[in-house]
Amino acid sequence: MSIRNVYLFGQGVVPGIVIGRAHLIQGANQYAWTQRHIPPEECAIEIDRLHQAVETSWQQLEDIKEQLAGDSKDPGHILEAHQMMLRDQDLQSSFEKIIVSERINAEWAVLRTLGAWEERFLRIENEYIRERFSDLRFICTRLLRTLSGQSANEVIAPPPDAVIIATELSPADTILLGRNAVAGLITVRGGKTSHTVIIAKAFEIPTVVGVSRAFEHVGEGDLVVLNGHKGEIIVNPDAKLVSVYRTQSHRMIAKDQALLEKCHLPGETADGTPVRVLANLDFADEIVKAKGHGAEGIGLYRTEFLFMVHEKDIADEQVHFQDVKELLERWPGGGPVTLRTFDLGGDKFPLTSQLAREANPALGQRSLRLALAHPHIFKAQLRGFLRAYSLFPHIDLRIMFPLVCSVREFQTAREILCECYRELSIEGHEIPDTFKIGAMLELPAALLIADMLSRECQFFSIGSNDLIQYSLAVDRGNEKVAHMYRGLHPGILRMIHHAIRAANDAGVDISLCGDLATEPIPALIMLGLGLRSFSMPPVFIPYAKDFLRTVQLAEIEELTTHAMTLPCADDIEAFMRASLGNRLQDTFWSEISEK
Amino acid sequence: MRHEIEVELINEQGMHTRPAKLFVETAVKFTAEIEVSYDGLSANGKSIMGLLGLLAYRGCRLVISANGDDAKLAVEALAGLVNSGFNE
Repeated sequence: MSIRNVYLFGQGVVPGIVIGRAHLIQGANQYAWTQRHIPPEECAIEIDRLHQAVETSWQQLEDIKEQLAGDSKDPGHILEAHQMMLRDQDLQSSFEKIIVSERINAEWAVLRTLGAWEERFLRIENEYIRERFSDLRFICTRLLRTLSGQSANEVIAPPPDAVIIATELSPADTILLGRNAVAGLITVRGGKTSHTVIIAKAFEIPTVVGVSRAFEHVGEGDLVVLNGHKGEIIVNPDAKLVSVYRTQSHRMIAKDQALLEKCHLPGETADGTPVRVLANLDFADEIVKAKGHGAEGIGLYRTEFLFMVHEKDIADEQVHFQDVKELLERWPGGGPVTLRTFDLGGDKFPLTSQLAREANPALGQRSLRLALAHPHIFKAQLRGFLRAYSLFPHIDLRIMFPLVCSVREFQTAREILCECYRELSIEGHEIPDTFKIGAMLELPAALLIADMLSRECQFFSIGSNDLIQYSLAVDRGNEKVAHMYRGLHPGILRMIHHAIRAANDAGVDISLCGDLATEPIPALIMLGLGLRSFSMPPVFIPYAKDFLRTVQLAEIEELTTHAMTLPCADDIEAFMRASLGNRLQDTFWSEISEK
Repeated sequence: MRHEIEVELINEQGMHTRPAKLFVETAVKFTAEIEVSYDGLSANGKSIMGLLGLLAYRGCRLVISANGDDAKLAVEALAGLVNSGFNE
């Protein structure tokens, strides 16, 4: 019997929730072909085979393009580029040269050529250029499939409603999968600018990328829940989970539309207490979605993904400048935009890291500690932030340090930020000094000294995910203890209560940006404890605003006062559930987030 | 007839797949031989792999040269394409 409810995490790049059977597609090296030396007289035969394979492959792409004809989402130009690459004279002559000079068969020549190009491409540090190597890999894979007698267009035919698991997918494969009505896509490799993501978006196939351990945990035919909103995968979910997600994915579509229409109303409770609902974003272009879902600001802009795709470019100020500029120029103003400096390490290692692995990374040199240990990387990011801000001085910009552990550590980070500010001013940049500097409260000790930190910080954001992990000593990715990961543990609630009170007393803005903000019962308790600002993935915002309008603040405060006297997470949950009754059942917010 | 011009890649993604494809599509409309050089490498301007192989990114300066009857027109058209940022 396989293990139930294995959670895997990646980057959700196309939203939607689907349940399906896993279909594994292995990478190029899984195909069977022979690699052999040939006598001189066979060179002409191999060259001829190669030419035929090129033409067959070209035609395969043509067939896919024809299937696409008239489709308004037409990503055909990518296929045309691949066709052009197939017939490219330079490429063909390098194939031929290798066949003749090395006396090797066509398959081997393709692999050798691919290897030689790979060396060249991967030497360059520009993300866009490096990623283009994947285009060459796709056409070479197609050539190899054709040479070894497999129909490249058929190899991929999945069972209907399959959730595809692949190392990476070529644009052509993605298109075929999209047209074959696959339910979802999961890839091991990730990349924001990958053609695959663009196509998956166009076909609206819920997709999660960068799931590094997918092949270790998912087998052919396994039942899989894919949550493209959260970037979450559940392998072999139990019956209860399946029914929760099934109901949810069916009913969400209809309800979504109704809620989107009123999501631009201000966030408030039934009695008119304002509650600010902000968005968590990973990519600059998501800001359009945030706005469309009624976000009243950006409570968390993560910058880790940028590091993952840029790999060696991590100290490039221009990359950060460009990224934040893209974010800010799309933000119409009003409401804060909160940039979090890089939170790397622990479970979020860059794909290729120059940083040493540690025995216990969660307790090691991660996040702000990593930044302070590598000031040139940290400063490149901070300078990029400030330069972008100088172009949009009207925006309520906030710079936030993650995993702050002590007052002194916060002061050190702030001093580096101020140093960047001074340097840029000397260099002639006009940067207003009205941006705010704040801290993520996610270490238990930081919440307990929130009153002391509030004298230094201009705002706080509670990061509930790390807070729960560190307070309860539970890794939610470990199925043996994941059930103990409980945000409603009274210990967690007391720490958060302390922090909210300290911030409110000091007049320091405080928000909550972890997963707890997306779950209705914990979020209501936070409201009862005095929190008036929540940040969550855009897709949750219409649900959260809708739900908030069904509750009275006085009632929630009363419930919270009683909930805080209960000794166990289960008691608190049962009490809140009983008290809120139908209102909780009626909200889809709880369905999306419930585990 | 030989013509030559130096241009800067101003589009964000540099000489990646789509710009290289557009470049080739324009280049093949001319009979002149077209060469693109950057950083000591030179490529056939009518080969997408050659252009991608230059590994040229935003901010790089390329020299486009053409040799043939319509060399002047070819260089102008290609420089126009690059200077427009490949209409990105």
